[in-house]
Amino acid sequence: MKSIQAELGEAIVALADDLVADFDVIEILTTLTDRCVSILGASAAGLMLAGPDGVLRVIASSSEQMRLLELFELQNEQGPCLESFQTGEVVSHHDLEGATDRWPLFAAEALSSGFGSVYALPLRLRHHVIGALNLFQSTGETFEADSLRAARAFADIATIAILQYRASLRSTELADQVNSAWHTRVTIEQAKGIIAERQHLDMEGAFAALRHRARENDVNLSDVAAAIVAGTLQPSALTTPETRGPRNAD
Amino acid sequence: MQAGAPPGDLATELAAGANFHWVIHQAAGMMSVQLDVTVEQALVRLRAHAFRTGTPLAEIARRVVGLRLRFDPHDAIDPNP
Repeated sequence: MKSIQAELGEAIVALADDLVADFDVIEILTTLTDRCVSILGASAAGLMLAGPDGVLRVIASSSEQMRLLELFELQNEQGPCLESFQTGEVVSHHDLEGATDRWPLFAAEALSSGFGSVYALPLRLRHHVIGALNLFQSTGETFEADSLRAARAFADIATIAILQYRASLRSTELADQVNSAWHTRVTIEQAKGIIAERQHLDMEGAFAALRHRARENDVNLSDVAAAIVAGTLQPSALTTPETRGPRNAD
Repeated sequence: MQAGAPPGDLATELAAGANFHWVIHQAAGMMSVQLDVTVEQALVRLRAHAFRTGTPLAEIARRVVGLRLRFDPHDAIDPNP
């Protein structure tokens, strides 16, 4: 059984390889949140990024569950991510029962979702803060100190991915570079809706089908999504790792 | 209002800023299939429905994604009136 260090080492090598290739920013950011769960032991993880209007929104998440996405989203008004984004510092709370004065709405929602502690790291490039990495831990569980230190590496990789994304390199303006990630996310969400409706899947299944297609054909996730939205790729052509092929028409 | 705007401007506006939530774009994708229109046109329909019913855009979108609200080319259907 691998140690955290060994798994972390392998994950960072793989991510560094991705960053020098023609990577997809949403695929990388989603993988980062997945690794926060599988390697760092978080119960859930999300990456928050400032939108075009400067408001923090969730750009990638370890889970599609609407409840979790809403827990990220309400942090555009209060919570550890907002504080981390505004101060450029790590913000954490190890027992959210005691956070109800500091973040009344956020603490209540997090606790009722089963989360007892939270950790937020800023996404920083020199003196700019563009977002935050948010880790949740279930009530009764704790974060390892090693894990929290390693989270810094994931936050830095997220920042690099956003700013080095090929679509963002047309402009040298930070705001334009961040917007490219948002445009990709929008296309992916629209494609998920189309696939979900056509194939009678939930959003998690639709996203899995998109990611699977991108990996199997070695194409960018955003290109698959754009093809779905443009109608040049049919949802029925997508498979998930569990299926063997397109379903027969009803 | 939008009549003079080049195609895509409304979609851009709806794609970002105050109206950016994942669920809005998921709903637009679903509605584009239900209505057999483009996703941009579905976003317009979604916003029109929210305005007409006085309901926040994200709430309408959540109902669509939660399968509590479907659209057909003639009108919106609520399976639980």
